[in-house]
Amino acid sequence: MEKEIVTNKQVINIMTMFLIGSTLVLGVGSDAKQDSWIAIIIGIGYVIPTVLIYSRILWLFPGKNLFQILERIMGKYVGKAVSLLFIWYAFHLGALVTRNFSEFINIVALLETPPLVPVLVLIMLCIWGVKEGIEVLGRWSQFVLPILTTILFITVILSFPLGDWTNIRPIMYNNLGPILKASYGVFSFPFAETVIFMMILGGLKGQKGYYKVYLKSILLGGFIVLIINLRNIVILGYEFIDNIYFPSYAAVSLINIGDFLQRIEILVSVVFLFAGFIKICICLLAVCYGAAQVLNITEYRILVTPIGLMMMILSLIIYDSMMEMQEWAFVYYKFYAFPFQVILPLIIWMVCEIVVKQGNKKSIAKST
Amino acid sequence: MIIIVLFLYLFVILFDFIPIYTQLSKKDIGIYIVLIITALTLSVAIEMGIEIPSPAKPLEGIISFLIGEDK
Repeated sequence: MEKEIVTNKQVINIMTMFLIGSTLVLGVGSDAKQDSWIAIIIGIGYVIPTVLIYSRILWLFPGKNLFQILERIMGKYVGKAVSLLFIWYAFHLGALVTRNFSEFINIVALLETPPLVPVLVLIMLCIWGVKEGIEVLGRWSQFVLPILTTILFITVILSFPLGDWTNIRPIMYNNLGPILKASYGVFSFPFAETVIFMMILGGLKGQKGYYKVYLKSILLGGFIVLIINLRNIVILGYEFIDNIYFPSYAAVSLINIGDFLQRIEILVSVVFLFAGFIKICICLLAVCYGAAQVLNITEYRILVTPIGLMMMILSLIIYDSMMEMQEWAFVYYKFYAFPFQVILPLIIWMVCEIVVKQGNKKSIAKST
Repeated sequence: MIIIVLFLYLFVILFDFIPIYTQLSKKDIGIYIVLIITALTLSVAIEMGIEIPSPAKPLEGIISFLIGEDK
């Protein structure tokens, strides 16, 4: 497989877009009601040690992605079996995100269009993006992220007159229990989903880059998610957020400056789609890297189209309705993702440390 | 809709597979064809209204069993 090199800055951009991808569409932390912003801060606190583990694993084997590391430390067969689990997770996540966006498009814009059409267009673009490789995605996100954040922050500023700060009070009225529960939800969706990046970050410039990239993007992405979430609560109030599917979209659609600047939610929808595009691309890329490694194929690009089409099919059959999707995303997903996000990386980390230590001992013994 | 799906796969084979197949090994071609035929079969089945079981249901069952909560 030819090596593609991306700079730290580009990966930070990609990861930030990945984090805000479907989070802004669906909203997070609704269990904590008006305290969901506290849940996000606690969620970021939880995720920092986890991403340190991810970075440590990559740091121990520089220039290798997760699948290569797994084969190296666990042997051919066990390594491939564990790789298959991660491939399934990335594949499933890609399908979930595709479904989120197809539901979003179907509900807010194209009501009568068959779901296949928006999904097909989205997946075709993603297949193209992934075929171009991570370098192109990196450059693209470096160009798009500043525009995207500017639009988001302009909408935040424009929605200031609509804000009602009594909506976030009383702070901590429901005790810490629901907040901790919600923060666990925030941890698994979206922050710990960055485990996908372990599968693609083989060619990052500089070994120390992994820590920097992970921490900076978690903080940047977390900050954007926090601000947008706070905006949604202040404008809409948690009772209203509980009753709608897409809180950010609803909050922005209320903006009306002097009867002139209004209906700018379409701009925000485009922003969501840009970020979603990157998220789907990264998942597809991870699946293709993994499949190429497991099947011993030198060039991952030939797998992109068939796997992309399979992802499209899974996204079409996975749920019957929007309600089921919502329930899965907020009730089951956090439990389902826990083994992939925490347990398996923890085991891999421990095995990595043992293997590296033994390797060092051997090399010292050889040299003496 | 089935026509659209068939055209999509024709398009994929014409523009994605034919230009590169001479450079691929037999194994690569085999994997590609198996994946594309699976995808085509499933797509046509969806468009014909055949219900394909979703993996979300069994996963939900396993998770509810493990966390001991019937939601």
